[in-house]
Amino acid sequence: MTSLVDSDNSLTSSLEITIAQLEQHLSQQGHFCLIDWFIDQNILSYSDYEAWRHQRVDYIDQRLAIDSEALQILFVESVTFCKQLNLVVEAQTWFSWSDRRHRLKASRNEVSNTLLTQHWQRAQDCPQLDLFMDNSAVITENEVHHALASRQFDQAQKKLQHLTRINPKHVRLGVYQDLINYGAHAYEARGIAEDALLVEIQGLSEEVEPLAKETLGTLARDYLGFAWRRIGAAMTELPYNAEQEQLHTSYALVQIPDWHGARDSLLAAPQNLDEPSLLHRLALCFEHCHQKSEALLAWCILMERDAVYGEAKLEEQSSALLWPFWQDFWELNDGGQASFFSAYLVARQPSITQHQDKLPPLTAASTKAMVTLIAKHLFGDDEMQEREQLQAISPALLRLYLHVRA
Amino acid sequence: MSFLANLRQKQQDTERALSLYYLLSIDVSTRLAQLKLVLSDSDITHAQLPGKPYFIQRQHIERPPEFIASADIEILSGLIDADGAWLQNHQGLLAGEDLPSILRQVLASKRCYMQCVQGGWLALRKGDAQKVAVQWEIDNQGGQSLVWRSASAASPAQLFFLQDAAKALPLICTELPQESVVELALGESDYSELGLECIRTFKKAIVPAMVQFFCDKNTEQFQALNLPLPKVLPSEDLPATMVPILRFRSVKSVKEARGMRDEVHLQFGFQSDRYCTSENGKNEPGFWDGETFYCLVVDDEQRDSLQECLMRYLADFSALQHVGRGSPSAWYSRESEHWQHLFTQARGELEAQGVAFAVEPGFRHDYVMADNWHVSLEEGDDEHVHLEVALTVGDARVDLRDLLEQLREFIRQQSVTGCKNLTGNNSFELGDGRLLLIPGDQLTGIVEELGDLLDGREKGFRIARSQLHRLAGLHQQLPANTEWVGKTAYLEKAVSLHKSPIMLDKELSCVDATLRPYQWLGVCWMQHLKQHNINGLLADDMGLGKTLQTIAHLSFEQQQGLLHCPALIIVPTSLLHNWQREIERFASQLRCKIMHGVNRHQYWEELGNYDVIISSYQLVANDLERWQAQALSWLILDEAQAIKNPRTRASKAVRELNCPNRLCLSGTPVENHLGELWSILDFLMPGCLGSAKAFKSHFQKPIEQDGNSNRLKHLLARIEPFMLRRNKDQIASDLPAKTEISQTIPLNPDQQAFYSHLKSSSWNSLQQQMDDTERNGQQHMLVLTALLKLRQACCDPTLLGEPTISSAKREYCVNMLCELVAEGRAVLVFSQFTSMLDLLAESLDEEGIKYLMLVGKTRNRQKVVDAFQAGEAPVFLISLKAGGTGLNLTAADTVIHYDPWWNQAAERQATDRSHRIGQNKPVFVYKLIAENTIEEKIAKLQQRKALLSEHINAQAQLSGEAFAFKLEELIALWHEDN
Repeated sequence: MTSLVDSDNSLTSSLEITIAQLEQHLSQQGHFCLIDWFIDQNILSYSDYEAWRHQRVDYIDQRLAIDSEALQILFVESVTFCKQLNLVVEAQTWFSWSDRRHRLKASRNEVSNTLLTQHWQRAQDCPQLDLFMDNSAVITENEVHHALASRQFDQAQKKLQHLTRINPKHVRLGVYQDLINYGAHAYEARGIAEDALLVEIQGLSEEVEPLAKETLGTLARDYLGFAWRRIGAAMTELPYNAEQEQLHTSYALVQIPDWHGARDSLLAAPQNLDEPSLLHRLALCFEHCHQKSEALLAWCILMERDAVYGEAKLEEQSSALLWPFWQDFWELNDGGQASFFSAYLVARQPSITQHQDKLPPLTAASTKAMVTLIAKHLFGDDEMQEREQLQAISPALLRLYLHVRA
Repeated sequence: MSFLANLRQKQQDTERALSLYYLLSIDVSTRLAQLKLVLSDSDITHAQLPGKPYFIQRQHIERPPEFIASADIEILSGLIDADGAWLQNHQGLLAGEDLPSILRQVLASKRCYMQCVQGGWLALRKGDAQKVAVQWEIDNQGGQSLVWRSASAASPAQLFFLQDAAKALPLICTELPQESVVELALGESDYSELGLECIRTFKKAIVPAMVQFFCDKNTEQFQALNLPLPKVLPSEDLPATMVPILRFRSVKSVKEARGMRDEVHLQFGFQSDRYCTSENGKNEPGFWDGETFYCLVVDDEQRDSLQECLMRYLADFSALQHVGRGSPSAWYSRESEHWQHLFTQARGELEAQGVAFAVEPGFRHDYVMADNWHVSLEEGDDEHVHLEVALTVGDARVDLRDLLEQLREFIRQQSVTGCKNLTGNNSFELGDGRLLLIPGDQLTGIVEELGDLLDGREKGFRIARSQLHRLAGLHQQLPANTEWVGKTAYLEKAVSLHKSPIMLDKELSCVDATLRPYQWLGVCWMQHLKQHNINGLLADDMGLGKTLQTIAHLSFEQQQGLLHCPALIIVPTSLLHNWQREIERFASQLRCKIMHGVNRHQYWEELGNYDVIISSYQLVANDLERWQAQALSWLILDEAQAIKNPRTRASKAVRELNCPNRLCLSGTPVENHLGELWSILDFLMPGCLGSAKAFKSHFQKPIEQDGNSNRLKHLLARIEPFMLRRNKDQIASDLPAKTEISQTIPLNPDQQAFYSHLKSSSWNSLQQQMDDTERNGQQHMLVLTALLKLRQACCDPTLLGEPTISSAKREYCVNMLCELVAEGRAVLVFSQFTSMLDLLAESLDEEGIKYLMLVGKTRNRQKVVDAFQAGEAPVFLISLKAGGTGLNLTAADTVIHYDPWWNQAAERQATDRSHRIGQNKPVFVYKLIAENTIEEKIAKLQQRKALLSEHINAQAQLSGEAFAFKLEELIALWHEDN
């Protein structure tokens, strides 16, 4: 049964790790490492992770969006599940991206540091020392991968030359060269002329990104993060143009994905937040940053501003958070209007109205009437007049309210 | 242009570390020259040509690496378009219509080189075209051919007539040494297109008999085209004799998969007093001496008859096929077996009948077999002996070293494909182009034996003195009639080592124990190794008496007066006293000393007074210098897996000790990987398995990663003389139905401190409580309760709520279970404390060992028992009360009593769960007893009771009434422990 009092907006639910989640992460990444899992779950923002890799932050555990007690529980659970899956643990040394000899610490506490940084792998996926480590071509190729992910393109070029000397017929030499060329280009040309931005975005998303993902696997995240951030930085001063919705910092940051950064860049220019595409992007940012109420509110505003666009995005199932509400809405409102969805959301999750100060106002008469009615209900006042108002807008809307209340 | 292509183009201007080079050569081994191109990837800064061969990759055309410039892409694409065979290839012939354009592009790259006669590399560039003209040239047989000549006589240029060139014009190559450059240019002539077309049609020589006919037919046309005519030669007849010849050659053929066909042609040799030649029978044989053409006159009837005879023979004999209607006396075959047959089996008979074999250069099947093998052994340096393996092929002697590269390739192929040709022959190219056939089984055996010796870069065979035993294996693999010369004593010794040990008189060992036959064999084996100056690893399963065999061996040595100085036994600290006790028990005549503890240093001077000294790995490493100065007769490592990692301090230390006689004991010489076995054997016989790296590549990787069972077999054969390993199943008939082993385990320091503290505080409290009560039953209970705590402290302090204090017994038991499970044993573990079983279960979980548990509260016991009987888990944890009666656990072959029982009869009954009727395996019973604790006292009291109870009937024993401890006995126990 649904309730008029919505659930807590905290992170509790996302703090749990299940053996299935762990196994899924393992199959995607090839290994399980808490730092990667935290980034994946947005418990650690990518910008904080980057700051740590560049030594701008000493310890990463200070930047986790969970308290230390929850972290300890996660430590225990993740180790237990890894053992249940018969994974093999391997200690990892993380090096700085700014100084490749500097060893990074994830936590001041030695045990936490180990638990955060170690890798768990299936026994069969562990590097077979005898098989690989005496094969200099494989070692060198791995070094090229790591230099690319660490954004050390000079180093990558040297390693690639070494690889070429060892094995000039290696089929991916040209691929690595392209990735190095792009990295060097992005590194050297920090600023991007406005008229070159679209070409850069297209080049990165259509050529570089598929190539990096195919070649570097999970390491592509760190290789591409730098590139997208560069493009994002080049767009901070750019006025938003609805015709070219990619030309916004938030677009680039979402590609990383740095949801926190993208959210902040969107909120920094509230005047643009009437734009459906930016509202949609903001809703997704909130969702990934575990700000459930804010995410729903952004959807409410989006559905008010452009129900057709919002519906199209919803039908793409871009939001795991909203999809169940959307389904329920049509269960109750068969043949009704999509424009009432915002009012329905308010009825289902009244707490979203508490975040209105951060975002553009709700303007639809139906939503406003529902907000007023909900306020009356929560205060225990007589709702008759407000119900009549709602009925006047649409009897179907009143039925929705009554159903939710029931 | 794509985004990345755009970036790539910008990078083209930057300096490259590596570049692609084009290495041209002109092959003049055939009548028409061939232009060969090799692609090489080389360092631009050093330009040390040639670099690494570059194999064209399609991916590189689409997405070029740094060393491939855009001009290269055009060339590489052109090569692939001209001939698809260039893909994945680094060399090939330049031919066909595309030759001029590709050559032009290659020369334009400015990275084209040609090797000069002196061996250096000269840059190639495009030269100016030169005038050329054709002339008739007369060969030795009087045939006349139309050939190109340079019109400029003063030019130092060399002319090459390329096959398959679009035009018949030659390639002109001019070396300009002053500039270190070679110019390449295509020839130019004044002939018309029709004239060139005409020249192209004259590919074959015109024989003397046809010249007149040719001139009659072509004079008018040739004059019109401004071409010269051949001249009619003056001729003379010459009588000659005839010999049939089989001429073998490999010729180009587009029909064949590899573009070559192997043929045999029947020809005849003609011999006159002035000249000899051979012909295929179609033409009149003859020769041109520069002035006259001599025509040899032969008997046609004789030739026809010989030809027919030989053709029939060949057709029947070796399943060859006719080349075609045009060549009735030529055959071909695609099967190398046919050629092998012809060359190795038919050849002798044919030659006996006067048929000559003529093999042209490049023929791919000139097979020969070895007549005999020879092995020569010569002294080398201090560490090696020279080994020379050779074969005789006819009159020639072929050293196996000359075939090293091919043998290495053979090994590589075998390891890559994993297949072995054991039935057929393997061929190896000799220096003269012949192919030596060696039977597959023989070759595989020899390569397995010599394999790692072939891995190195050395050009010959040097066998380490520590590996001389391998000669026995080589001896076995080579044919029986192999001739061994030089220091053959090494071979005799190696063969002798592989023989069974001589069984000595058991009485000579003077041990106070009845050694089982397999144990005495172990002692004799140790003596056998000693006779051959070899050290060994005794790797019997746990419980088979490695300790006893070693004691018997040392006792034998002492009795024979061979123990001139003490033997040092290095053991894990926990086993120091075990060893001492066993020596005292079985060979009390051996004077034994434990070198342990802080006071040990006062005994260094008197060590010579002892026969056996026992110390721990850690302390031997600490006292290394002292031990190095100590003369030792034997160095024995117990639980030798302690040195499985050659980098550890203990492992390094034991290798530093000076003692010629070494012995290792280990039930698990390989716990994780074969490198551990290498480490132990390398300690015993340094170098016996080669270097760690060689061992890894020759044995470890093929066995562990490729699952190469033959290599494993070979390794086992290699170490067979050094290692004696018997498992319980192998010697089941030699074992008693039940073997009982008491294992004392010293407490860990923290556990020892806890135990001592508990003992003293409990005693004070007990005394107080005893004073307060008069009732015997209550006092009995008080003492039992206090003793219970001590017993729990021995088992595991966690039982008393002290989880941070370690448990030596639990650690020992878990290690033991790991080892037993690895051996494939089924183990019952009994304890009186169910919470102890829980702790063991936790440890087994951590080790990933499956177990079942039966405690008092277990429901559906039969189901659990059935599961164990069905082999669902190798370990069964059982509590005293649950396991006492009614269970039938015949699947188990090992029983561990984790703690001593008060009632030995009940303990025996628990043991007998696994020893009931239906059990067909010997059972091993281990009793784990904490050293210097109450447990030891209980065990001794039990033994005394057991002696007394021999006369009490079994039922009375079981009831426990007659067997119960009296109060005074319990208090005495306490006193003793204090």
